[in-house]
Amino acid sequence: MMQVLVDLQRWVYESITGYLGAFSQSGDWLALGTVLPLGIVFGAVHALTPGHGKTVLASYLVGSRLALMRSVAVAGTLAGTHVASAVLLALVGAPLLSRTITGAGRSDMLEDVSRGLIAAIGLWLLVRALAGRKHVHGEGLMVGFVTGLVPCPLTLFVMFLAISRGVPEAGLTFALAMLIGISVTLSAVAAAVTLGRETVAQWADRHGQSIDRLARVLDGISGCLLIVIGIRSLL
Amino acid sequence: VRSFWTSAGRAFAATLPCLLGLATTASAHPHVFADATAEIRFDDEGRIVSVRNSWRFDKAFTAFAIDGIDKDDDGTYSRTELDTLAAENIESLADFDYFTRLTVAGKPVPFRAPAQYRGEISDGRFQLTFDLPLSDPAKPSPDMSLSISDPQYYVTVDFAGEAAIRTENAPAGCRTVFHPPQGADAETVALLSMLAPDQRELPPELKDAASRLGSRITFDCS
Repeated sequence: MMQVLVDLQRWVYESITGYLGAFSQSGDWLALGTVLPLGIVFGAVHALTPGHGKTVLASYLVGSRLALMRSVAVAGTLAGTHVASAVLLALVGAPLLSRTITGAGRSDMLEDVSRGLIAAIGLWLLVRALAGRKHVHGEGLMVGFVTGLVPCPLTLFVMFLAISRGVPEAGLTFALAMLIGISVTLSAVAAAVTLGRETVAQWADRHGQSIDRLARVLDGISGCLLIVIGIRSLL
Repeated sequence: VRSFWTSAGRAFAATLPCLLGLATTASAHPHVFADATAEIRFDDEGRIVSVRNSWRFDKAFTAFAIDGIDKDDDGTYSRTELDTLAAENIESLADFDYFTRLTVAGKPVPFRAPAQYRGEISDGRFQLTFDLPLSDPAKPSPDMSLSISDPQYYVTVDFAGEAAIRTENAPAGCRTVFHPPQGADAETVALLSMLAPDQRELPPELKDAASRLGSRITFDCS
């Protein structure tokens, strides 16, 4: 199964880079447009693979009281930052990036900043759970933003390819397709967590447990998970 | 109706961890793709002395890797520029045992740092070739296994079957047997998926299991 996924990714990736090369010769937007759905599928499949902030996203949403659409917005913010940081780095921030095969397209600095902030948010959630305070508006979007700071290497590579062929607009088109695909997968994860959490909350309610208490417990668990995730990747 | 939704909700809550698990266990996250060949070189006593790896990378990674290395900005890549690029990569590969793992009865055989390496660019693709010498030449044995893959699975090293494996100066009656990637068992996939997304070094107990994600070569010497 895994081999199938990898082969599929590679095939789609090569089609995309092939189309990009052809576009730099022909300038035919219609032909480039036909590859867009492929880019969306590629983004969705790729986001299923480990990383991409799914654990952070799920850990945060378990403790949050965000409604379904807001959870999806957090997922969208994560996907947006993940792709946009890659596009920005390709355009201006190349010195931040590792160039070698083994760490290609990764930015140690940004990864550390992102993990550190995730741990800090976790600590904040934990302290708040213990103190019994309320959630801050916009907090979820911040979680999405901070987690997405780790740039998407594939978007980065394709941007570099597009720039080197003199067609950065084709790279941006691909980045947009990637963004849609990644958003679809992450939104599905966010929706699954949110619906699951609501189910547990309803169950607790019927069994005479205080929702407030449960929310605080979940918030505390979220905080602990985020601290662990943040610190473990930093070490 | 209400009780239906309640039990449906409960069933969902119960399967949620599995769903999440599923979403994270598809442990394929390659970002760099390479077409590979390997040449196994023997000395006159029939011992393996080195593995010559050659990896041709995809166009998008190449565009990224070569950006800015044209120091004199003349539009072509000089030998010095390409060799610098190759050297940087060889250096970074040292931390990952050059993606090359030779074991005898499950025990890894050590390699020395490559002294010969070369970078080339053709058709928009960067090709890295390097000769990886064994610390001590070793006779091929039935329990010997050579796997060439990225332990962190960031790079896929693809061999186009048997034809991608060559030998030099192999003793008569010795041939290589190519085993395509097998994929990993569910347990390995689960363990891999629990690693931090940016953890680059695998714990030793996972290295063997992860090597099954790549191709393997064994020796048949009669």
